[in-house]
Amino acid sequence: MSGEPNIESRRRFQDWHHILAMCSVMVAISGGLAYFFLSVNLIPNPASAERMLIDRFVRILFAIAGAFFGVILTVFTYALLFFRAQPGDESDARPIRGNTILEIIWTAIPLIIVILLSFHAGKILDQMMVTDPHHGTTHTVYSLGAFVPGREAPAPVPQKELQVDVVASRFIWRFGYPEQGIESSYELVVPVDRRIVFRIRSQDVIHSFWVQEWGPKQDAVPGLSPVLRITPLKTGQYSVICSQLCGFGHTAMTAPVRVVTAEEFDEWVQEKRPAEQKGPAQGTASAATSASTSPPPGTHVMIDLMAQNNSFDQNTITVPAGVMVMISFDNRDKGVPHNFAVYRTPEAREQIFAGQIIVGPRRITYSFMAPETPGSYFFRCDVHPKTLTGTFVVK
Amino acid sequence: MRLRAILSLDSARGAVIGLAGTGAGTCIALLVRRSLGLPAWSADPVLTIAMLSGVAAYLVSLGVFNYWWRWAIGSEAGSGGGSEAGSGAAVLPGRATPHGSEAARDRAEEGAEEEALPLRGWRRYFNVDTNHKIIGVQYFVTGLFFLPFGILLQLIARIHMADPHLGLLSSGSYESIISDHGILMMFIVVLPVFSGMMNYFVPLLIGAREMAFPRLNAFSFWLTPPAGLFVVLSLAAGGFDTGWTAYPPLSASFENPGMDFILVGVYLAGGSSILTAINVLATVFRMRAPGMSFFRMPVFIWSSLATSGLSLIFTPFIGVAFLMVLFERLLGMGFFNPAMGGQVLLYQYLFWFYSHPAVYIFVLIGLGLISDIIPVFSRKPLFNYRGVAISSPAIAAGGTIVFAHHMFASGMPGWMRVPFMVTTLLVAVPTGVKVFAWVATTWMAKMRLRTPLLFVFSAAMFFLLGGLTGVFLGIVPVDLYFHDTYWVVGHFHALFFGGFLLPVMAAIYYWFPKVTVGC
Repeated sequence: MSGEPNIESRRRFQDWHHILAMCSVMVAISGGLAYFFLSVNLIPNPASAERMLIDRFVRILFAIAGAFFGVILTVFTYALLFFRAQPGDESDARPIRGNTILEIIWTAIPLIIVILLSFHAGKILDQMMVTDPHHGTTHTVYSLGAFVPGREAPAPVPQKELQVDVVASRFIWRFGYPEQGIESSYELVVPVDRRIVFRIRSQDVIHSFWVQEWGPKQDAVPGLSPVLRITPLKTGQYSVICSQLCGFGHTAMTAPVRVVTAEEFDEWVQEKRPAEQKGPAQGTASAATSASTSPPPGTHVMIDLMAQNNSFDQNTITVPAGVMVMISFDNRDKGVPHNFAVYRTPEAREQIFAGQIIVGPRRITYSFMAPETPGSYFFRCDVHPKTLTGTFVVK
Repeated sequence: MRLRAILSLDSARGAVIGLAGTGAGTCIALLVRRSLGLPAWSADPVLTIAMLSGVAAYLVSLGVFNYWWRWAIGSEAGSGGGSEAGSGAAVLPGRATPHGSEAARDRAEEGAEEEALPLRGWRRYFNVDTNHKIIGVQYFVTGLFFLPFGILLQLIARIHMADPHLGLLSSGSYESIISDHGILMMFIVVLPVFSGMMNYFVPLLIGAREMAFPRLNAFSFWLTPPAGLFVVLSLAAGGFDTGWTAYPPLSASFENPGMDFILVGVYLAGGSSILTAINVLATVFRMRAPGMSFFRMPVFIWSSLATSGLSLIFTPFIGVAFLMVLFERLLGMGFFNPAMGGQVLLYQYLFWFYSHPAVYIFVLIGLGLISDIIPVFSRKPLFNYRGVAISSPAIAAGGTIVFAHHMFASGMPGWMRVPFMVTTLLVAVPTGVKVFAWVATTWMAKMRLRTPLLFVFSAAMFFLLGGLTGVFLGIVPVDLYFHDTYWVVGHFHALFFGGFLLPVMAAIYYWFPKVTVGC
């Protein structure tokens, strides 16, 4: 009997037995999972070009993740089934401390995969050319191969983008179409097959603009105007939801979205614009044309406030407790910045709301929730805190 | 006599005098405000001062400062090393060595100058004690004490989610419930449990007699109960609906004082975490037994080192971020207020600079536990020990430069998201080294399917799921879809179960006999 070599080779043969069995199961399971994930679309209702890009990437990621999961699952299950200690066997298993080749392989393969994923993701980001807060309409190149901040993107968009201003406040979305002359709509109407550039602003806290079917979202941050580009590809009805906790009304902060044909969009613009010229305060009165453009009745009050000759036109504003207050603020002082802000007391240490400062002549609509506790509060212009003041009464 | 017996316990005394301190602080705050011409009562400042004065009174009356105070005033009794406080002499003269030994020797020499009430059993755990095993159990049990409350919050939230119209929770309560659930679980359950395990096991595993700074250790533990109390009390104070991330401007303007409770509570828990980290690092670097080289240490120690390094360096950032929010709330400052020249995103950068390494703090020890338990029940050594050992500091180091992946949709500069995407994906590589090593350890093993092993297998699978879902979140265009959705919630809960809860269950089963015998 030639001793060691035979026992060694016999043991190695048994190992190969296990390796072969396990690898075939592993290939079957991982392959099956990968194939499955590549062929289904797990995220529902894609409705934009950006979603198409995201969905494809997600399928690839699921396939890779499924494959890895299959590998680990197979080995663990195999070990649980076939590498058990025999009852009564108190001896140790073979003290395998490592295997350099295996270790190199399973460090290198994930490394290569993540590097490839990064490059691909950079390219996809380029194609989506989403949020670019510092550069507005110029495009920054995101792909790793050309990683230079501020460089112009290669291909210009053939069709002119549609600009939409999104203003988020608690707890309402308002949309403006600067090129169409529409200042404030509560419904988002956009034409299909055209890239929309949303410039997103917030008047109070952080919100987040998201239409799930369109793909990416963008936070609305006070003090910033980040930009989101979406190319809707399907007509239909959708919803904007707020995707960043913003207070008690967060879950109700939605807005209807309609993606329509180009002709329907032009018609809608024509209808909306005359209503707009009357001023936003009258917007709710023209219910015939725009029933869906007003916020739900009963939960809000609208107040007209004017600042002229460095004074407000009212000294006292009264609102019910806990409702949405919309102040249609008209700053008539040319070149002078004003705003409207509410504090708990005249010392103005505890702020309840502070609206964006606007330079006249200009109008803006502020919206915020009135405090729940009735009482006498204080409002003022933050720029002229001594001269433009008043009492804000909550009933 | 019974009352005296109870009050002789440091913690009871601390609670009573802490409560008195809260009252005193409230009165002082009201008086000072009145004398300044302000309305006497204003929820945020008065309650914050009440909390802080309560904690100060509690800490002083506990006796955690006694030694340092005596040293500072130059008292002779403090110089020899009398470390225990109050009347509860925590170390019996007879059992002096090797833990807390100096004080015991002193006491034995002094004789019965003070009544060295021999403490046995459970009373010892309610006293200030510098013995690392006692502190370890104190931390661990405190964390587990708050765990059912966190689970209850989650159950209430789930029932509400099943049918919001049932009216179980009023509007706004749901946000408070889930926000408090998050803060409680992370800072008051996970942190103390892992601090406790490190305190208990690190000296034993490296052959040290005690932790490097036993008195500091005791102090760091006693910060945890008030932290937990404040986080729980936040719900009674109106809660906070910002989510656990507490972003301003919402957190700075949110009316209810529940927000302040969280800010102070997390501050205390963070302080405790930093002090434990200092202790662990000093102990492992300076107090290993002769011959205990770095690459002979158990993987648990490597994980403890990585965790403590992160904790020490990064926890101050959440302290700073929360302090700035507190100052905005209380003093009207405008760090994050654009109307006052501030930047909203500054908070997010500061917050996530800690909170990303924080998640590694939350899971690295659990992963170390998995790495140490699998070999036991496989009857073979850990595969690729060196690689697994190095992977813990590698994950920690990699995890320091990925933080902005929580902010991809935030309005941060678009181009800056790309490098963070790359670093985020790279952290997957050392994590993979760990998972593959576990798997390879079971190869050709002689497995015994005992309870700890079953928990650890489950932990490994959950952790794998969590990690894989994280790859999706690291890719910027995909994250812009999944951000702020339940994908993220699923991702991190899988990681918490796999990296914290299930390994801790395994550890309880495995080490219960060891911990409960003696001491």
